[in-house]
Amino acid sequence: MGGSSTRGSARRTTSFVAAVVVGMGLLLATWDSNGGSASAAVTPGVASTTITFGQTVPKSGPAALYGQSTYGVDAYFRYTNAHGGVQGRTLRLVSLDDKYQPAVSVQLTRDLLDKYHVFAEVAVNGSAPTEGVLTVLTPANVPLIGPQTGATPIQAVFRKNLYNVWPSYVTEGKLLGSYARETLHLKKIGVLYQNDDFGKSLYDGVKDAGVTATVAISYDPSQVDFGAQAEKFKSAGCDGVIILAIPGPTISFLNAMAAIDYKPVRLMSQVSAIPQSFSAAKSEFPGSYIGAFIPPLTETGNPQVKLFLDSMPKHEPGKPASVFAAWGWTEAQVAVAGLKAIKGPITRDSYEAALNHLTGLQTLGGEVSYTPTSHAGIQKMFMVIAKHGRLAPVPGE
Amino acid sequence: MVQFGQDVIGGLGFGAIYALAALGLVIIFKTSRLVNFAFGSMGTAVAMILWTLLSAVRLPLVAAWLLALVGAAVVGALTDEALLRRIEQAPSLIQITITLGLFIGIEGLVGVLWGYTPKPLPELTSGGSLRVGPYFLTPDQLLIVALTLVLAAALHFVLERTRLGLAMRAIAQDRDTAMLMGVPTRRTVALSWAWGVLLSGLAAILVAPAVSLSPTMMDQIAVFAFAAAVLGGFGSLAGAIVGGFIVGIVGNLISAYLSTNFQLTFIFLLIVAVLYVRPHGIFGSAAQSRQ
Repeated sequence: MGGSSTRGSARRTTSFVAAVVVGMGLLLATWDSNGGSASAAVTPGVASTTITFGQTVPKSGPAALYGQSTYGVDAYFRYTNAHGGVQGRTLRLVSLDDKYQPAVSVQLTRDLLDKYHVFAEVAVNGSAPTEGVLTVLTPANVPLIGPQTGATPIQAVFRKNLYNVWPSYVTEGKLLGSYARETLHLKKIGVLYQNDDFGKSLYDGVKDAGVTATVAISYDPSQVDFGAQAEKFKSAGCDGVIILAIPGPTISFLNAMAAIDYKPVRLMSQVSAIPQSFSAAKSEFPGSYIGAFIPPLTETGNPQVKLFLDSMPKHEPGKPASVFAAWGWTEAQVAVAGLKAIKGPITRDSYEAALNHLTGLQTLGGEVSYTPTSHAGIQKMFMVIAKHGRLAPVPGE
Repeated sequence: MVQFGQDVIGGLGFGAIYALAALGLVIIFKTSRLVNFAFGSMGTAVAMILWTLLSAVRLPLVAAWLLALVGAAVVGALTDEALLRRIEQAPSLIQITITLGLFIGIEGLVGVLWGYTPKPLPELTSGGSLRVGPYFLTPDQLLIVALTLVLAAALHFVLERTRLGLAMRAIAQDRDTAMLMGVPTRRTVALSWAWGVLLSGLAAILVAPAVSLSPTMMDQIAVFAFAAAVLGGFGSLAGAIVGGFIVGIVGNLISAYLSTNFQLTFIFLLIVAVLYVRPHGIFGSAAQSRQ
């Protein structure tokens, strides 16, 4: 009897412990990783005190320079948090290094959704990585605000969850082409373009502007020797060359032109015009014309520029207030404006609904407006010139 | 015709860089029988050290150059002493994996330490391009080609006419016998590593002013230098030089007359064709290939 009672007591104890374990498991399974109790109806990434965004950007590898855009996103989020946040919640960013490798971007995007439970993504960098990221985000209807690309395959296809901020590369290419033809009156125009969606979309814009290139040469982003290309443009007598390239190849190409004493009028994409070019390509970068949507960061009379320059040292001390940070800042401005426009609970659907009706939002990079059927980015671009160690407005423009 | 000539001149400049880097590969291979796949990233690290000496420490150009190159030699010898000596008896696959790991590790470390913003390194010479008839060439291009040829001649002299060279050749032929004959094999291999990394560093700091300094700057150059070493006959100093210039000039001509996108493809097709006719490379021998 006594043995039976002991066994019965042991069974009850075991059942109790099992029930507690199962109960704890269920509780943990429904516990939101951001610290709030959750249910099926609660939106991932939105906790009682925080809203979590995610991004993939290159922080290492050949495109790592663009990773500086994270500083701008972080700075604007901290600026927003310092001014009360959104609906009493602070904003946080989970930023992962994809090395500009689309396969890595896809894997990390899955991590951002499954492991970090982000609400939305912001300021993902690069054409090919963004295409990869969208294969994960679009089926899950996770909003992506401001991918750093203007490539046609991304901008020309309407996606419910994708909100462009950058002008399309076609727009930028058109600006460069029309400026070369109509303003600078160049007769023979050469085009150097990267052999991917970035370079091809820009070149499409140049052609749309009515430019028939005397010589058009594509290149591989890993290329370092541009002597043959420079010589080809020179031999063809091009009086202007439009460079649709990333920073490293742009510097190499400018130096290759200098080596053969060839100094045509140079026009280039805003993607390639980094301040370091003043010292790395000191004879050919000055005097170059550059398409831009971020105003010259020396224009401190511009309130958007002033706010950015004042906020960077305050919220991201020690981090450069570079044009790349300005990209991130601009994209974060759009992401936050959409959140602030939400009436009621913050869900992905309510976020998209709010973004769909953003009209005339003034950002550092220009005006942004969306409708339920158009998520195009900034429409206005202008030309700047590399002069006296900085990018300055073109006189008379 | 002028364009063709200019393309050849342009190819000579980069060809000299490939040749220098290939020399660094070959000299290590000759004594340690190991392909140092980390030579590109090691070269970049040397160039970054030079940039720091110039921009942060503000040393004069010549002093900074000398210090960076001495540093490269020391790092080369230490790499052999601390890491590769311990795996000299390991299977080739392990050795290759270690040097590939070093390549990735050093490149990542350089990125962390110096960042990915392109940095300028000053040219060695001042002044604009020189005009020779219809052709242009920069003083730096001339200097790079001359320096490469002088260094190759000096290395050839060391290998053929000095006790150190004799030791290197003996080790290359049969390491165990060389050791039994009293050749200081360890010291000689360490010295070859010192020379190899110094040459990679030299290639990097010579090319950096033209392409701007970044952690991945040497990636494509390393591929072409490796191609040059294979083409010339792995293990031959003359082969590395000739291979470097062939890769530089042919690569430039492919870029000019076909497409940049085919550059790497055609270079390796050329290597396949040469190896089909001469399986040990242009200057290679069956003995070197067996090594």
